[in-house]
Amino acid sequence: MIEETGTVASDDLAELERRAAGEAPAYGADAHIVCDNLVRIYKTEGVEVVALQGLDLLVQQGEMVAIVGASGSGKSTLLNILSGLDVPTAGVAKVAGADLLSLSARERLRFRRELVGFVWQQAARNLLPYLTAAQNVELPMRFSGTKARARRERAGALLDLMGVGHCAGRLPREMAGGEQQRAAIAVAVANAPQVLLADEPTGELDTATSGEVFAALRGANRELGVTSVIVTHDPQVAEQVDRTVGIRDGRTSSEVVRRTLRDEAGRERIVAEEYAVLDRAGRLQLPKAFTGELGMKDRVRLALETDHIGVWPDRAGREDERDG
Amino acid sequence: MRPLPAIVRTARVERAIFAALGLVVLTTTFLVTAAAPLLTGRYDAAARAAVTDVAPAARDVTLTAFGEGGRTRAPTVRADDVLRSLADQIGAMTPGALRAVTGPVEYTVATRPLPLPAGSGADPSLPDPSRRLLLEWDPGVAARVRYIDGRPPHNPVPRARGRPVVEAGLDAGTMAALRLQTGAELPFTLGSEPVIVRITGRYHPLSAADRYWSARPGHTGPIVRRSTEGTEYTGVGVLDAAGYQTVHDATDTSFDFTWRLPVRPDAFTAARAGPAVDAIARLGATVTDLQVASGLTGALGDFRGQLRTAQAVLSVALTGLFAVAAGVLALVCRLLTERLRAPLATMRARGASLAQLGSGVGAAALLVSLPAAAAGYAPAAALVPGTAALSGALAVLAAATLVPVVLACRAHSGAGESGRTDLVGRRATPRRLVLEGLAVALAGAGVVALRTRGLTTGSADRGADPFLAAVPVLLGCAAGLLTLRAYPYPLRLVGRLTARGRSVVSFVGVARASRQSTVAVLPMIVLLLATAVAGFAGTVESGLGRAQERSAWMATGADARVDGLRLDVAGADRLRRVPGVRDVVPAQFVDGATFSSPSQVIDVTLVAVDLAAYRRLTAGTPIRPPAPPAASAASTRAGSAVPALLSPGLARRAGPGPYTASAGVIPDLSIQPAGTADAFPAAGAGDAFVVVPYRSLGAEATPTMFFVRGTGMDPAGLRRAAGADAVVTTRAVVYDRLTGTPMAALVRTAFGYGTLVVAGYATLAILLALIIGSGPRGQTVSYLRTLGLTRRQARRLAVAEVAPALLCAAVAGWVVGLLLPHVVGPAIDLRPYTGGFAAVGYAPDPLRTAALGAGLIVFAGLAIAIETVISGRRRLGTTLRMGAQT
Repeated sequence: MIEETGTVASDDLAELERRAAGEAPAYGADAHIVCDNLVRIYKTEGVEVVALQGLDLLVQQGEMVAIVGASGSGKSTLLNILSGLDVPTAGVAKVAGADLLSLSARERLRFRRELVGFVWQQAARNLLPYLTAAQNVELPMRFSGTKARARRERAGALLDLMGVGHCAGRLPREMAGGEQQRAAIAVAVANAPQVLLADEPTGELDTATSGEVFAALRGANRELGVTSVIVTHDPQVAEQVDRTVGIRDGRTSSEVVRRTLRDEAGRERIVAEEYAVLDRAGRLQLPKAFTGELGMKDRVRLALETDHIGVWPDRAGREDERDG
Repeated sequence: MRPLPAIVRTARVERAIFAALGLVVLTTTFLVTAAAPLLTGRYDAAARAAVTDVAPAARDVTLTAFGEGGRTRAPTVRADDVLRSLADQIGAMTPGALRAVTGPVEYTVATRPLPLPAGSGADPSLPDPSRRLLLEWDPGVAARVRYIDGRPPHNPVPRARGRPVVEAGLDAGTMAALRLQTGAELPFTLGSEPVIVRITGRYHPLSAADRYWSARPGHTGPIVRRSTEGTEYTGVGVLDAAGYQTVHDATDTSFDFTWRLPVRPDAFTAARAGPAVDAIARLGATVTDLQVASGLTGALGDFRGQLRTAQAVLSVALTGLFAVAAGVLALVCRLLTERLRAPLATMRARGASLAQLGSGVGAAALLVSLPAAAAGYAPAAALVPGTAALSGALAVLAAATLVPVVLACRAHSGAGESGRTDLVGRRATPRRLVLEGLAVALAGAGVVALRTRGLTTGSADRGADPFLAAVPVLLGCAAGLLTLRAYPYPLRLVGRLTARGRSVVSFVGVARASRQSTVAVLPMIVLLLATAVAGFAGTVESGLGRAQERSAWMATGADARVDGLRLDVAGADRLRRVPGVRDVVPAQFVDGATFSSPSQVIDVTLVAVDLAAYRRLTAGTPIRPPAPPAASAASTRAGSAVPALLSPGLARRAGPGPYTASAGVIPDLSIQPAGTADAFPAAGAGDAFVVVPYRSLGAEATPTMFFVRGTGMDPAGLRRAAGADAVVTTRAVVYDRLTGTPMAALVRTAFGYGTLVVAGYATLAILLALIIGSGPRGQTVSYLRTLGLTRRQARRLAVAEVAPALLCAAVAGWVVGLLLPHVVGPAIDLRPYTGGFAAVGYAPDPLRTAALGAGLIVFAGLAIAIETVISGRRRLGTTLRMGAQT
């Protein structure tokens, strides 16, 4: 608790400093992951695919966020950008203080080595097939130049933490799918990164196993304090994180925030509240189900009330057009 | 070096491709190290053979001053030290190129041969003209002989007063032939002065095998000359320096001074042969007082021509071979990095620096290529005489190590996965278009430059011409690029046809073939270059073979030819009875006949032969004798003039008629020109000749020649049948002599091995092309097999997929190979190999084309079989999941 207050105090100091300097706080200045109006366009000889079209996302330090969305919505692109494997076309992307648009080769290397770790859906991409689990965990530490002894100890500890200590000497093909993914999480956090990114880590697994893998992710998040972003289709995963961000057509469209409430009887209850995301330009994505139900198209009417904004379908306008 | 263990493990998993890398490095190292030195060694051996073929006495370079009657006036040199200093001067004047292949300058001074005086021979009262003695001072002799009786000559300085006496030693054998004894005193008249020559002793050479003697036949035995008048023996009386001075001072006889540069055949190399011949000419121009001669000039002139051609042809083939090797090496490296892409991407994403990736890849490649290079270098070094150059092996090793590193670093240098596999570029980038256009333009410019430049630079004398060698490779690459651009269009047509057909294999195969990635393009270029090299070798070789065969036919005129001065008409019938003989045509050749018109007289070869019969005899052979002049021309002046065919040169020079042909042995013929004949068998190329009907010589004319057609004839039998002095020349012998020269054999062997190696590389290229496509094809096949494709159809799919590209590359390569001899034609002169006949028309050889087709099928089949074995281990499930994993 003392630490907590300490953090608050230092945050306040930073705020004071900024005020003293006369600057307005930048967007997401205090966030660990910042995406501001992120755009990624793939261009090949006359064909352009806009994968991200002005995406905003803030993730606080130590938070665990799930990103959901239909396939093709830009989830994986976002994750590739955050992991430094892809470069955005425009916008701002900062992870743990590193500006991903202006990383030099050396900084990018440091970023990959020390700041992020990630887990892909396919075990084959996470683990080299001819190395044992322990050797796979040691690999990133080799790259960053950790001493052999420290490597071995940390690899053992991490595998134990993920609950796959018994697999240390096994090759990936001798391990079950869930074990492979848990070993992959150990690989991802081997160099004690600040951010863990996972792209459908449970995509190929059954419910029970995916539960184990999620528990391992959760463990990494809690035990190691690593900020985690998980792209997933798995509702089981999406329901267990603090915040689920929905992406539609390359933009964040909705957020579900879960809070643990304690009722009068002292029973804990998780309350999930779904929000639509209002971006800094004032754009709002209305859920398709809502707009479809009311036949909203092209134009809607807005009305400012005292505590909310009303949205109506543009019936009158259409009738006017028909009359005209 | 940290990721090394991981990458070494990768190497173990991808051992097939690493093994391919090792194999390519091994063979390429071997080739690079061995090919050029082996060829040079063979050229050098041929150069030495050409030198040793010349008789030792004629081989040495001699500078002679003849006492009288010669071209030059003898210097008046009386003392030995002056002679020696002159020898030193000549040594100093000798160009370095000649000094490199000759020993120190030797010199001799000799009188003319003198008939032995009366009193020494069988009839003591008369001088004996058949036995002669010359006196010679040769400083090298004394140390090389041993006197078996008497003593070496020892003349006092200054000479004794009174009638001059000169002491001389003689070879024991010579002494016996001249019937002289030790102690004999022979009174000679030298010039106008009387001199007594005293024979002081007999010697034997210390070593008869000493090369010193081979240029001095008179010192180890009498020089024997046989003629119709009888046998003539000449001996050499060996003087000492004082003896020479005595003869010089006491008489006014003239001497022949000879300075000799003894040729060392073992010092000859192909590279030294040309400059040495030039140096002889230069020396002759410098030393105008002396007459410079050597039998080498003629012998090495032929060799130089052959060498130039061999170097030109083989450098083209060798460069092509190296280009193929380099292409295959690049292909393997490319494939290697493709295979390592996934693990390297994972490592990169996990924080490996480029240096770490590169060093890992480099180390893995080095682990394979270092032992492979050593394994390739060791046998090459053992084969090559002397020390083999290490630079080629190191270059191959460096390429095999660094190219994968560079490719891997380039592939993983960016942020990471910046591209999307679901987006395919349709059009080529402008950069690629420009590069391809540049390559084509360069090749075109190279061809034009090569053709206009032709042979004028003479850079061939200084070794292989790099420009000449580079143009064909450029041309091959350009053809490859054009083929790649052009071949999708016919393929699209084929695709439309197969889409309508019922076969699923050809449809899917062709559809996949037209969507090949650029990785698969490289094998096509390699294959094209390989077939181009094979085609080039084949075309040149068959062109050469045809020219040699034609040349042999032209030289003999028939399967066999019988020449003789005393042949008779009945000989033809006797020859016909010899087993194997099918037909005989008599002819008379008169060399040195005269062809006269009122204005001039020209020396010609008169050929009298029955052309109709001769044409029947040569039917179906490469030679086509001219048709007999039309009967009308003959009948117009029947009896008065003989219708004759003239050689083109003669027809131009002859001027207006009437003409007469005359030769001593036949009556004069009045000639009526009835046409020209380009060439006539057995008449020297370029000579002027007149062909007249055989009967025009009259009934009693005897032939000087029989053209014999037949198979399996015994030359001895022909000789017996023809008559006493008959000389039989068979076409087979002439052909063997043409093809049996060391250089001709060398070119043939080099082409044979070159084609073999290129075929090996081509197989490897096809195999690699198949392996490149095997991953995606495996997926397609697995998917199609779930839909009911049979195993056999799956195998055929592999064929259908690579066959179009393969076929296009092979055909284009073969066409390039056929065109190459035409393109580099001015630089390739095959005449030195064909006895002067130009190789006309490099036509495709149907047999070789068929062989290439068959070879291609065999090698492609082999490659497909290997690929099937490799991929056959995969199970259906694994292949289907492969797509998800990559």
